[in-house]
Amino acid sequence: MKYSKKQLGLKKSDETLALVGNPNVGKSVVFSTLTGKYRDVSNYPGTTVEISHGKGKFRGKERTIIDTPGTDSLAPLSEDQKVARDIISGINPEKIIQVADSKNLKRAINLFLQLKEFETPMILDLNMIDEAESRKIEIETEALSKKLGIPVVKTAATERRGISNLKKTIENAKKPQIDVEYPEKIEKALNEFKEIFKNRGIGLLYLLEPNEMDSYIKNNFGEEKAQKTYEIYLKAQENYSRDLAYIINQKIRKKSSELFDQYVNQQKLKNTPLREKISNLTMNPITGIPIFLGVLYLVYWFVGYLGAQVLVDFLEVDIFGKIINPYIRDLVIHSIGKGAISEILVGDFGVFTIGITWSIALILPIITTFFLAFSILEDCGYIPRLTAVADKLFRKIGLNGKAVLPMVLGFGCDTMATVTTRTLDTKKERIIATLMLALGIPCSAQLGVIFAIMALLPPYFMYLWIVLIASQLLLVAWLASKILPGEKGDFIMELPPLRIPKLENIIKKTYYRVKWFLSEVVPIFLLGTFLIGVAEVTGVLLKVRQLLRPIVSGWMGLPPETTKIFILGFIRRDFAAAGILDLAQTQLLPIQTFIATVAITLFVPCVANFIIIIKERGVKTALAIVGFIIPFAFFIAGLINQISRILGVL
Amino acid sequence: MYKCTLCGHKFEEPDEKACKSCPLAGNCKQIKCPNCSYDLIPTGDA
Repeated sequence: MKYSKKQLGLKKSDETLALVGNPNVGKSVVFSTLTGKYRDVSNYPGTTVEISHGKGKFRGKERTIIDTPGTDSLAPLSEDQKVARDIISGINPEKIIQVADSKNLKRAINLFLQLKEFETPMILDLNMIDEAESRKIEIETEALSKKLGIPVVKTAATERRGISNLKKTIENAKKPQIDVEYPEKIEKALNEFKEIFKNRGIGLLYLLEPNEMDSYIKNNFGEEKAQKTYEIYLKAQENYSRDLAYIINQKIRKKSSELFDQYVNQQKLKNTPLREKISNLTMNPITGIPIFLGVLYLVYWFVGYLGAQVLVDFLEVDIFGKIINPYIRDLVIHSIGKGAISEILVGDFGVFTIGITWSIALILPIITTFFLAFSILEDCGYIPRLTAVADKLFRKIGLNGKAVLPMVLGFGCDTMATVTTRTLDTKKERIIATLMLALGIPCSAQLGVIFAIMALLPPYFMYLWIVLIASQLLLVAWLASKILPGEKGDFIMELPPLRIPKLENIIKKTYYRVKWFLSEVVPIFLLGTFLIGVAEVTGVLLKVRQLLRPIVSGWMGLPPETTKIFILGFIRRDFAAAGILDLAQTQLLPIQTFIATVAITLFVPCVANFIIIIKERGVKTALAIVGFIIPFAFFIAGLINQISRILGVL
Repeated sequence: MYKCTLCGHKFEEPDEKACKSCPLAGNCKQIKCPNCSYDLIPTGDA
């Protein structure tokens, strides 16, 4: 269906002005200042994307202003991008104002170089100029305007600065006059597209995303034109071994970098404040990685000593071990006698003896100290800087910058991070990010327990664990970068200042996270122990144990008791990690503890994560991911056992 | 108005679409940044 002025209740003769821009550039504020108070909001047909439009008068002429969804590209991959494309090519506005974030001009120029192919008169609005100025970013507006062939104005819409100038300039909008130097065959194809569509814009989008654009052209321009377009595309593509989209994006990025370097200057502050110096050190990979390891060591000491030793010893041994559990056990056995139900409640795998004891006496103190440490790091602004270092590292191996974010979020909760992978551009990227999360990113609760386990072992095991998990993740990331084109979908961050954390914030953050753990996670633990208890009583657990014996005892060299841990691992990884911690104190050798920890780190995070993978990626993909992860986890853990045997560690 | 502690984005409406998909979101007090999806706890700053 072709989107037209009619669908916005406009007449063909009504003059329209589209606001286009990257996400979070203050476009909606610019829209409000141009249209005043009143606006109509309608859902774009067949989508949940909302389109705002309103009237504005400029030099006595009334125009309808349409606010398009924020987008980094017009290549129609996401719903927002499709809507932006449909407005530009379907409504065909008389003028376009591109709203840019002055601090991130390169990103705006990338979009501009796609927009300019539609040959619509344009204005470039350098919004958020106040923030750019405070960072000493200087843009040579006049020279840039001359180069692009369109008016360029500066605004700070939130302060209404520059808005009257923008309004005055609207009638002077001009068709852009700058060229991207595409290879000859691509230029030829774009010029042939112009004969069909009257501009090169639709053709450019076809070359960037042929599958999606093919159905768009069939629906809006007919079969014949679609066939002709396809032939032009094929003829152009046969000259290159790489996708045309890759070549075009490379050329666009090259051009925007050139323009950026030429017209944007950032002065360096003469006297860098100490805070800024520390901030820079945390973000430079050479100093940032040792700082990260140091921070990790402090957290490990804090969680491993205070949480896992002082608090756990007190709660597990003194309170639960000596007072609560003997009392509950006696109470249950006296009330209902020995049998299946008492076994489920207070037996070896009982809801009380395992479910409640581990939740409250083992995991709770550990994750509380971990959440406390995490809240301090978050509130002082270190976490965003760590993300920036990870981003630089991942980019070095060619992985999409956007893919770093779900990995960072996974250290909080893998389930919520899996939801975030939907922001990635392609299906392949989403699947790989989901796999990486499920495979190697321990969530906050599990990380806390792992720190506690490592505190029981000689210190080099901790670093061995980091190296093993990091190398395994980098391997997956590197493989992903070989399959996927890099540098797509950059993620822009505005770093909060580094500061001394506020006590009130730390308490509040820790409190909410602990509350979340108690209300959301503990019930899953209890249900899990109940099911395991039933399996024990009915003999199912024994059969599973026998079935897994060759893997658990033979391949991984662990005692048969650890089988129950891996079964718990299907419910939650942190729960299973708590089981390892429990066994490590009594039965396991250090190397066995390490092997079991590696296996459980690589396991699928939890039942909730599995459910969300099904919801987000479908049953087949979810089963394939789990079908890969579980044997892989056992394989790697067993490999460590075999190597240790050869080296004589065991 | 919230400010994301990870990416610095200022926003009024948290991303509720993503939260609706989460099976653990029943009593969760965290909000999701619409720019980077970070789960933040609303405090005096955020």
